[in-house]
Amino acid sequence: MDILEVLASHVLTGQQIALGAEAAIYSVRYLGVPLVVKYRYPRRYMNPVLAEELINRRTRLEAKIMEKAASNGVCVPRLLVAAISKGMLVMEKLEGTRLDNVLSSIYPSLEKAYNLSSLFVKIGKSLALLHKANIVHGDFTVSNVIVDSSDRNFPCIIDFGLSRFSGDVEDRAMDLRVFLKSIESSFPRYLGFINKAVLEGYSIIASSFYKEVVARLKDMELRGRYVEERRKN
Amino acid sequence: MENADIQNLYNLPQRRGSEPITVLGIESTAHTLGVGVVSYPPFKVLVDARFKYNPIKGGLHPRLVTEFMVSSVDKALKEVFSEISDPSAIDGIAVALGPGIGPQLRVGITLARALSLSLRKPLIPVNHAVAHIEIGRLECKLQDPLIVYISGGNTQLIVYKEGKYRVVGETLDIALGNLLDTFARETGISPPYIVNGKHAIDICAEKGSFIKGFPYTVKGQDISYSGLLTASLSHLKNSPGSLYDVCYTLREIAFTELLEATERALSSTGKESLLMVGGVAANDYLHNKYKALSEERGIKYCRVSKKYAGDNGVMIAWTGLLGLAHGVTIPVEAAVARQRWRITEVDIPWIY
Repeated sequence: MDILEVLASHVLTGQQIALGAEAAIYSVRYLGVPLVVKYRYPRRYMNPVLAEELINRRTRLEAKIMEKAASNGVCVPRLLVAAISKGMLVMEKLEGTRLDNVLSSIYPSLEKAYNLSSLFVKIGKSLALLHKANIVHGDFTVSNVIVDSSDRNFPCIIDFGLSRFSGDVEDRAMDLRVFLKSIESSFPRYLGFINKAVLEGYSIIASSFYKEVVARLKDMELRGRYVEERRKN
Repeated sequence: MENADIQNLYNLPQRRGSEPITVLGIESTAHTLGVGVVSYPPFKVLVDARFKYNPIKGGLHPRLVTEFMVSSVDKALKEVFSEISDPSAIDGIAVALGPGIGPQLRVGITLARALSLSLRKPLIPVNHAVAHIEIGRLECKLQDPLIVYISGGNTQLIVYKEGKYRVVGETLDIALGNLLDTFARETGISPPYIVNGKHAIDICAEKGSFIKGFPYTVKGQDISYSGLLTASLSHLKNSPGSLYDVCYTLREIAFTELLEATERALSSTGKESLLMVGGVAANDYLHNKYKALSEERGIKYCRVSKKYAGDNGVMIAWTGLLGLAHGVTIPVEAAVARQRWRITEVDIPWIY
């Protein structure tokens, strides 16, 4: 039996661990090995032609990007099988805790959060490594960082579902903005120091494009609708 | 609406005695002059006067809308005071200071100042976006939903956190209603924009089918519509017979982008209920998509009634009442138009 068919049957019986925005994530075991299967299926609210277009395009691109990210030194889950037309990606299961859960468990203590400063520097570095490889993540939120607690608080990046190949300053700044907004909406008290730590890490790797990305980030904050500060400029 | 339901939803200070609070609210941010009067407890809508400007051609020309609003003030006040025989029963005058279009805002603000001075009642500043949310929260009885706020000028995904509403996703360029209206106007199928409760695009899309290859832009929890608008107009220019298909495709992609951003926001915030408010919330095709999404994810979903989806004075009055209960008032001279008053700047003392 084809490994894909076996996995497909596991997906049906496996444990759904998350229902993301455009895929369901299943936790399965194959030959005793814990795996994660990401399965994109047509949404009920989507036109079927549009759904097929999006599923194929995104599954193919995601596979490509995960391999490139890994080869550029970013911690990402290893990709084992990519079944594009089935909308399915099979990858290793990372041991660790989602960053939002890590933060929820200590919020609102600032003291405990400061102990995580080096983690946020590393997150900034990881993002800059992606950007240096011409990858933009596209959904770089607190729920898409896994903290490997077993070892030295190392961040791994997951869910490349909206990622693209791009070296555009706008796209790069958007990754930072999405991350900081996800901190702001769930952990507003931490925004200030996380902002600082992430940018510090980012600047170490992103030396050549750091300045323009940060300038664009500031620009973006003023660009949203109904921002009074913009009036004064 | 039971008192107990409202007490569960809102943190309202206990008042001495059981006298209800009555607030008059004025809306004039875009196309509608609305004057509403509500009282609580128990919750009652005493007046809901509305005068909506419908352009014969083009869009909302501020001068023409303003003239229309000014000429409607008299009728609005007659409606109010034929219902409220004793003006001293009104405890406060609420007005939408923004966000909105300056000339129109100033009509409502001038009226509010005049009423506040002549009735000697405090003036309550209301943010238009907050008002859309509060009337929806009240009707749907949702404590802590992810809010989808969609109208002609706004497309935002919003949650409440620590004393303020926070924007977790939004359009990076034009609003959903703006996209639909502009396409309809450019292609000549509007005005009228709404026919028998349906948008001109919905009617046009009924005979259409999906065209592949249009731009689809979701960036995290944010979305973009301007590329879709340009692509739709240029596709139509190159194949003039394709109007129905373009209507269908434009609507399909615009709505799906929003739904996908909503799903992302649901995942990242962990909210278990969804509330749709604003003028575009009256769209049944979009409503059905949200129903499908909520069933698939097993979450609660509710939209504001069609009656209160569009701009109205009742929502301003209700939000003003919540503000007044917490002492949110301003002196008359501080009531100025705030065209870009972002929802995240507003203190929300009435949520637990």
